[in-house]
Amino acid sequence: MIDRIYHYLSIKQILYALLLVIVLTILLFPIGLPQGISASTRAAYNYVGKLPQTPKLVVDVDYEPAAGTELQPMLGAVLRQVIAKNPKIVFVSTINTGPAMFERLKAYVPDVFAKLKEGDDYVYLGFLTGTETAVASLGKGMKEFVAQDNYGKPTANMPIFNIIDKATDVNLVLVVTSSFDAIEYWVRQWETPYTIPLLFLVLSVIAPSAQPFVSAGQAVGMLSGQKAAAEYELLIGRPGSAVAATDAQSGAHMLIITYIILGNLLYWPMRPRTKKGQGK
Amino acid sequence: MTVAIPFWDLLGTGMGAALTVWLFSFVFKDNLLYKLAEHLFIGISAAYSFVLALDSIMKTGITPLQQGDISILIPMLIGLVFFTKYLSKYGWVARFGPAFVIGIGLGIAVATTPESFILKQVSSSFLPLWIPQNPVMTITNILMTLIVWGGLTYFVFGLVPGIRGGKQSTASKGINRAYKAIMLIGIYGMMVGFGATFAATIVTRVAFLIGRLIDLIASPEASIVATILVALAIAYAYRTEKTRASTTARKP
Repeated sequence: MIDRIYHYLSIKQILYALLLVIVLTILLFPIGLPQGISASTRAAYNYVGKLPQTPKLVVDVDYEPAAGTELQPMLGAVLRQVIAKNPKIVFVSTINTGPAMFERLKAYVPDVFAKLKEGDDYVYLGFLTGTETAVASLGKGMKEFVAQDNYGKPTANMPIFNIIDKATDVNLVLVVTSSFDAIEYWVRQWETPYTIPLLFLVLSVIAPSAQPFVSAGQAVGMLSGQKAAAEYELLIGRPGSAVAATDAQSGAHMLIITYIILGNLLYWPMRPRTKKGQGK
Repeated sequence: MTVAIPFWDLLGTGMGAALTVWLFSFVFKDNLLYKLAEHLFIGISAAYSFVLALDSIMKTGITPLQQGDISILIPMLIGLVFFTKYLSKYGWVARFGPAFVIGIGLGIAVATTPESFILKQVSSSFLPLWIPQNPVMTITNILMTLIVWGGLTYFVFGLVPGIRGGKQSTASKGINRAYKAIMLIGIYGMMVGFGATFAATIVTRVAFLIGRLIDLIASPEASIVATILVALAIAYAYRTEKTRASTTARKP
């Protein structure tokens, strides 16, 4: 029987299959592992909580569908916290998948968007070509730079732009991104010239590269990965998809750690041996 | 109360689940349905980007022009210049487009880069090495400082003679030992950094997998049908491979 399995499946395929089975099983039957709140998530939560009434925010929806699993719950949780303050929000995207992700976001947090009136309280400017140049131009005047929003409505008569138009009007920028490039653009074009506070909502893989900006005080904080999303959901008291997925993530990590230990144990007797004095 | 889900939403979710299963099937065996999913992904991505680019041209170029803003003609002309590369006689004009775009991009980025990426980063690496009543922070800061020194030392080439092989003078042996020690700290610090980045990559990939599996769970019927179909496609791929192998073996 085992021989027949090996005939069709390599060890790599068996390891992948096991990973799939473990993750799927935990997703279907969650374990309910205890969740702690990290200091960085709490700091970001406290910062957002201390924003003035009617805060003026810019949100860069800069991720693709795959990254949505980590970033959408995170952004949803932050928006749910900030909605109580009656915010004014300008959403933009510097990646071409942004418009599709924004529609998904609207469907993910309908309670947030039900409280916001389009044109008065929020606007989505859509995908802006030009990457860093676009980010720089936004800071000088959003209404003038983008004549129409994502849905083709002229921005000239939108009341929101009477309150929030230039970088200096903004209280906080949420850079929700799956790429390090976006972080560089916002730091270079908004934080350095205008000292606008930035909050990074990033994938785990971006976190090590983005951390130096947080340590240097160029960003007020950073939320990274599904763990931070789950923590934020718990902090606002609305456990959602991130909390549900954290068990599966922990299970997958435990399995990968087991793979690494087993791999090293199996490799140990096979390691290349060198005689003394022969070198490697 | 039952909520009616629009047909197109249902179809989209089902197709998403099926395409996910078909793409994952590559781990087990390349097959027809994987290839179909791969080609669909590339085709749809290209079409999506093309439509968005057109929409962007309409919004930022055509509409302002229709409203009488003739200044937009200048960037439009620079954009059109890109296409002259298809004209053999005037192909050289195409260089002006990228030159303009790169020039503007560089100009905008360079203005703030020294402050953002050098001055602030360097000043934030000057840490207090003794914080009373906070031993954890003290140790962290000392480690950080040593790793920064070590990392920088590793990338300083040729400062101490003989450090990377070659002839060593007796006088420089002591300096070399100290130099090597600090360089070693830098190497280990960088290894820890690379390890953390690799671990973070795994975390992200697992999160991507979880995201796809959540979508599969959301449409179980489509997932099951897609799995059965892909199992058949894999079986067919194995059979074709076997037939080919036996045909090749029979040939003289």
